Amino acid sequence: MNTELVMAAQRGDEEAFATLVVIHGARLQAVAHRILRDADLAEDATQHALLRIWKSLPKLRDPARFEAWSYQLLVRACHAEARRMRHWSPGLRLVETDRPADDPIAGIADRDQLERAFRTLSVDHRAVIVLHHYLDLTLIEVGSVLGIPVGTAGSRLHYGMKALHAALDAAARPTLQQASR
Amino acid sequence: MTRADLDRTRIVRAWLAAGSEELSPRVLDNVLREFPVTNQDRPHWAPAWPQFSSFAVGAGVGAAMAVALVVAMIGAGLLPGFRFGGTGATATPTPAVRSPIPRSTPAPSPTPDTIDRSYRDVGIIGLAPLGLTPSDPTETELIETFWRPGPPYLGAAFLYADGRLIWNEYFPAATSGSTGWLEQSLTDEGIELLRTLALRTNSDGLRLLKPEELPDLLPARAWVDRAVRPYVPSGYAARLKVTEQENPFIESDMTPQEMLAALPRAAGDLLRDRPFVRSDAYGADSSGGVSDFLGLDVADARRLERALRAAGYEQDDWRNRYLLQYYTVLDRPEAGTWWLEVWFEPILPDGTITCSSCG
Repeated sequence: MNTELVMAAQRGDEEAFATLVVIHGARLQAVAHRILRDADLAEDATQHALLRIWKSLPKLRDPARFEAWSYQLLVRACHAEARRMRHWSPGLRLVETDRPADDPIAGIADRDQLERAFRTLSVDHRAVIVLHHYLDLTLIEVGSVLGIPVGTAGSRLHYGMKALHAALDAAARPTLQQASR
Repeated sequence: MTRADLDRTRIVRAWLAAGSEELSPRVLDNVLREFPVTNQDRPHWAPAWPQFSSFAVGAGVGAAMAVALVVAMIGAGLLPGFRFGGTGATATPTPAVRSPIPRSTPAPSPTPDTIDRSYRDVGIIGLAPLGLTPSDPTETELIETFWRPGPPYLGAAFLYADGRLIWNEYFPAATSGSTGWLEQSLTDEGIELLRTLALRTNSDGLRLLKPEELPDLLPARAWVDRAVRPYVPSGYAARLKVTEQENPFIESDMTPQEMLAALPRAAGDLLRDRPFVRSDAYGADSSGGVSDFLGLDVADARRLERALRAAGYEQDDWRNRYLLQYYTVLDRPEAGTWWLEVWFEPILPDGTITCSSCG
């Protein structure tokens, strides 16, 4: 991230912040979408986070940490959206996603099981998984972004991935019809 | 990590990578329209302050919030006679202080050592013992909801129009569990003071509250009864749930009718044709706020519990640290071993239920 741009926005330069929004907003929304698994909630969380970023930007002490700091505010906004909707429930509505041509996810059962398992996780667990496996942050960076010890980040990752792995195993199990053939 | 683990992780990563990565026009338009008319928060700390280390972000924010809270409340004249550091602070009327606290001597937030946590032994998890009178009145309006995001403590608090503050606290670690639901009572003035306090400490849309600190934060006149008592509900709601034994996150595709049929007959008869209970916490997204919990009065909830016990249903130790739960093992030859569970949640004074361990 261009720290000069960040510093200009910190001083109140609207042009600079608008540029930051265009450059960085898409990534924020992608992360929010992956945490919340709901397009509308993700849009709302992204909007709140971006406005909060503008408002609090002068308080950011190290402009070089802008990106990590922005993810911290985004995850908080995701928490707020999740609590506002309070629909962490078994009544699942699966999210449709565009699949790349070389999609290694073999079957729709995999995606459905992952979607279901992921939705049963708390936002805290989801955030760790997305930051680590989608943004490729190290556990130290994840801990820094979320303001948690690296051990906690590790245990959340372990717990969350265990649930997702179990879901994949369940999807791979033969059905009654397949087993009886 | 095994080869299979690596393969599964690769699938998870591919699943996460799928999907668009664009900023929606709605968000872009709204942000570009709103930020220029939003004032930035200018820091009032000296530029020479040391930077927070990466791992001290949470502590730094917490300290800043604590100072901001004190300044905000004193500025609003909310805390005459207010003092930190003791339980059950005595309110001695003094003129409201309107100048901020000098930064060099920030008032400490109540610490775990100074907070009376004896309330942890007060609450009830499960059905209230016979002979306890339900909290009165049984129907009233919910006016505020607070969440505490923790850690180390999680929980929720609900403020009702009649001044009751009903709350719980629980620990995410499996070793501790929940306090059960607790009750305190505020005066009309206390309601307003608490709402003002909550608005002033609102953070990023979350309304944060630590009820156990309120005796120190609100003056004596805010309380009808600051003693922490168990919340005794006038009814309960029960939910049927079938999950895989090895992985409780995987739910079966059994229909509600099939689950009812799998129960002992007496239990199934008690639950058949019951109304669903409203909830913002369970299953609300596509059902207009209606959960999959079935409403029961206290007597029927006790009958249901007796029926489950009589049929040999067991209680899972971990679950029962948060709520009342019974289960039995279902052997489904086509799909492995499953638990048929029955969860009980207390009905709150506005006729809804909430998740006792989702705060």
